[in-house]
Order: sequence, then C-alpha cells, then structure tokens
Amino acid sequence: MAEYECLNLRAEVGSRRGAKRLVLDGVSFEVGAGEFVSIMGRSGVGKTTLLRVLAGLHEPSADSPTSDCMVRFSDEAVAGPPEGVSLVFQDYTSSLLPWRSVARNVELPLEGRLSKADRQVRVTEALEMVGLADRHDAQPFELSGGMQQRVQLARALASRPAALLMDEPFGALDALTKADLEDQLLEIFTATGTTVVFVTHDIEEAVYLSDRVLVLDGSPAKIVAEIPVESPRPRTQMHTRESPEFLRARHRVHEVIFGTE
Amino acid sequence: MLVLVAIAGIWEVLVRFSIADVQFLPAPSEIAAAAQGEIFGGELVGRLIHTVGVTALGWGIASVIGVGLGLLLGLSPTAYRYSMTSFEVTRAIPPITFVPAALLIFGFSLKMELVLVIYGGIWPVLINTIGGVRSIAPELRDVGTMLRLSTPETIRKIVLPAAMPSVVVGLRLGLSLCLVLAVVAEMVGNPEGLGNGLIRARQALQPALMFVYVIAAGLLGVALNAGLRATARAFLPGNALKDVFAS
Ligand SMILES: Nc1ncnc2c1ncn2[C@@H]1O[C@H](COP(=O)(O)OP(=O)(O)OP(=O)(O)O)[C@@H](O)[C@H]1O
Ligand SMILES: [Mg+2]
Repeated sequence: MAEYECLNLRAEVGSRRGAKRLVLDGVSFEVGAGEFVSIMGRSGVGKTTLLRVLAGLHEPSADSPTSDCMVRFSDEAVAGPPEGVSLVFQDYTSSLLPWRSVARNVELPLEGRLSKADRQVRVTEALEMVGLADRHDAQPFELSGGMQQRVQLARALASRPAALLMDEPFGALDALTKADLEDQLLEIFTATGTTVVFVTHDIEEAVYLSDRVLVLDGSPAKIVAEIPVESPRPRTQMHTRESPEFLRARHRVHEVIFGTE
Repeated sequence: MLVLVAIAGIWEVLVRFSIADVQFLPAPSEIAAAAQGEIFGGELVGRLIHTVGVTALGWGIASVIGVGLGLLLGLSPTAYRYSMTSFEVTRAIPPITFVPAALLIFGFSLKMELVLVIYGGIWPVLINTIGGVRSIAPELRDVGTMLRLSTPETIRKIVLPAAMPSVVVGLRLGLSLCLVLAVVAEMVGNPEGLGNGLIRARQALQPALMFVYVIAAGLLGVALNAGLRATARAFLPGNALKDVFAS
C-alpha cells in the first residue's frame, strides 16, 4: 500500500514578486507504508523543495500544463502539513527553540493534544529512543551538534508519526556521530514501523539506510533512477557495508550519478 | 562610585574657594542640604510620584501598542510594505518637536504630557519588535507550521519568545525616552512633576534646589532601568538576555 504518492509534480521557487524558477517538473514516485526511501541528487537540484512539498510547506505549481499533478499522503491530497507527518530539518541550530529545555522542545508537538501526564510519558519514550533520557532538563545550547539533532529527532517522534521526512539530518555531523545516529535511526525505524523519506547527498548513507534510493537530476529535476537495495535487515555498519547487495546497489547509484567511466 | 565621590570633592573645593567663579553654581554640600529640605519638608516626593506615574503609565500603554503593532507589521509582509515608508518619515521627526503642537491641542494638562510620552515611547518598541519578528529564522516558522499551530499559538509559543531579546531592547530604550519626554512636558507644559520642580527652582533663583531635581531625575532613570532589568530577568531565561543589557 502506498503511503505517499507523487505524480507529475511541478514546483517553482522564488520570491512572490521576483522571478520564479521551475525546480521540479514531472516528478513521480511512490513510497510504501513502512518503507525507507532515500532521495539523492547534487546540491541545488531541488531535494529540499521536494521534501517541503511532501511536508505541505511548499505548494506545487498550480499552472501545470498537464493537470494531473498530484501529491497524496495516505489517500488524501496534501494541502498544508498532513496529520501524521513529522519533518526533521537540515539545520538543527535554527529549528530547536533555544528558550525551551530539551524535554519542553520534545513536548511541543503534544501540547494541547494530550494531558500533561501522557505528554510526560511520550517525552520520556522519545528521549529514550534517541538515547538522551538523561539530558531531559538540559538547554539545547548546552548540547553537541549530534545531541541537538537527536533532540530534533525525538521531537519528530514524540507525536508517533506515520511518516518521517528528514532533510540531510546528519549532513553537518562528523563521521563517527553520523554512523551512530544512522544506526539509532535504523533501530527506531524497525521498532516503530514508521515510513521514512530521507534526503542526503551521501551515497553510502543512502544505500546503508534505504530500501530504495531515488536519484533526482536535471533542471528542472525529475527522478532519473530508482535503485532497490536488497541488503537484509537488521543492518550493521560493518557487515552490511561489506555485503555484495550493498556494494551492488552502491555501484548502481554511482553509475547513475557520475556515469560509467 | 569612587569616581563620583572624587568629582563631588573636587567640585566642592573649586566652588568653596572660588577657584571656579561661576555664578549660581552651588557646591555639593549646598545641594545636599537643599535635598534634605526638599525631601522632608518640600515637594520632591510628590513630584517624583507624579513623574514616575506618568512615565510608567505612558510607557505601559506605548509598549502594548508598540508590541501589538510590531507583531502585526512583522508578521504580515503586506502590512509592512504599505506602512513602512510613512513610518520611516514620521519616525524621523524628533518627538520633542511635537511639544508645541501638543500644547496647543491639549493645553497645560496631564493629557498633553501623557500623549507626548506615549507617542515617543511607541517608536523604539515598535521598530525593535518588527526587527525581532522579521529576523526569526524561517525554519522556526516552519516548525510552527509543521505542528499546525494556530496563529495565536504560533505568536505565543514561537514568535514572541524568539523576538523577545529584541523586544526587550525596545522596551528599555522606550522607557528612557518616556522619562525624558515626561520631564520635558513638565518643564514646558503640564505644571507638575520633576520637570516643573526644576523650572520652579530656576525661577526662584535656587540653584541648589535645581540641582536636587536634576539629580532626582537622573536617579529615577537609573532606578527605572534597574527595575526593568530585574523584571526581565525574572521572566526570561538567562541566555536570551545576555546581550540585551550588555550596553
Ligand atoms: N527562496 C528561494 N528563492 C530563490 N531560489 C531558491 C529558493 N530556495 C531555493 N532556491 C533554488 O532552488 C533550487 C533548489 O533548491 P533546494 O534547496 O531544493 O536544493 P537542494 O537539492 O536541497 O540543495 P542542497 O543539497 O544544497 O540542500 C536551488 O537551485 C536554489 O538555488
Ligand atoms: Mg537542501
């Protein structure tokens, strides 16, 4: 069953008065419920724009010549952020509320929806999932970059989303922290069964995490390739990265992005 | 503090021994004596209460208007575009230049003083609120949108706290300006308060008393600022305010 459906998507960026630029045209793909899909592509190709459309933060272009442009999440057209979708932003420094403690940041999506006691339970649960249960009362600025990104992940998980959209969440982190967080994300993915759409420009990361890798290219961009990753789960940094399935998928992605030499 | 004592000492010596032969310049000791008389037997306390009252009331009203209007203009690009040019022009006129006009319209009254204080106090609050709101990181606004917060919720949970350091700067500048305008209005318009006390002392050729009022106004400014700082400290987390009171 498809959770996200995207058909012939067109999207423009630019200021209201300034010149608009067509970034995405004819983007079509589906993401199944409980699937982990990565979106890859070079910088500026429109990955963030695509993710913002899925999140309901960016409206698809209205003046489509073919009027079959469609974005649906669990069988409903996306118009504004859909219920059950969480977004993890690329830049954790500007997406946490610096005046709130770690716990209060994670609590934000639950306010007005759950009782105080239920919120506490969810906050503790989410912080445990990202391994930050002991930093409950810390202020965001007291944490390292990796920890701040974990807080953002916990905030996204607190509302128990059906789908998690992530925009280069580990792009700014060092290799060790990154590997750590990748494994943590996979654990959460397995435990919760959440659908994940993950944007990255790290080929290894995309292949390691995903069931499928979609490659975005061109100007305006569309999906130029779709590479399935057959490596079995659970995956581990050491074994999976040496498995023939992993190497084969990585090779394919390389081919698509850099061409065959 | 030590510097102040030293200055007072030198001043005392200069005046006592007529080294600086300035007519009507009282020695610090004379000022102290005048202050004592004015506090215990005179009008200082009543005048002080009047000026504090008008400054606080005017500043409070100006702050509510300034923050409210600032939120509106900061959040709505349309409202911002249509009003910013006229604001820039109006703001460039020093509020003091409206004193004669206010005097003509409202006469020698409390109303005249309040209008002037409120008008002047709005600007710093308004400009800093707009600036604070417009400089909020777009990601932070997206966080609110993603969580499908209502507009009042967004303002309460995201916009106001994010803009707060800038708003507090505006409130602080506004408070100083309100005090200045209250004293000016009392000097030329409303015959009450510290400003009027100052003028009366001059007319009565009592320079020592005049200086008592000058010092009282200065101390009041310091006290109001300290009060605001303490209030802000109590309500806001420490890190948000670090640079607000640095200057
Ligand atoms: N607000 C904007 N105004 C004008 N152009 C924009 C705006 N936002 C993005 N763009 C342009 O749209 C294109 C797609 O941007 P987008 O952020 O989606 O790329 P990306 O693939 O996420 O890049 P990166 O990997 O660097 O994050 C870029 O060429 C960018 O210059
Ligand atoms: Mg991006």
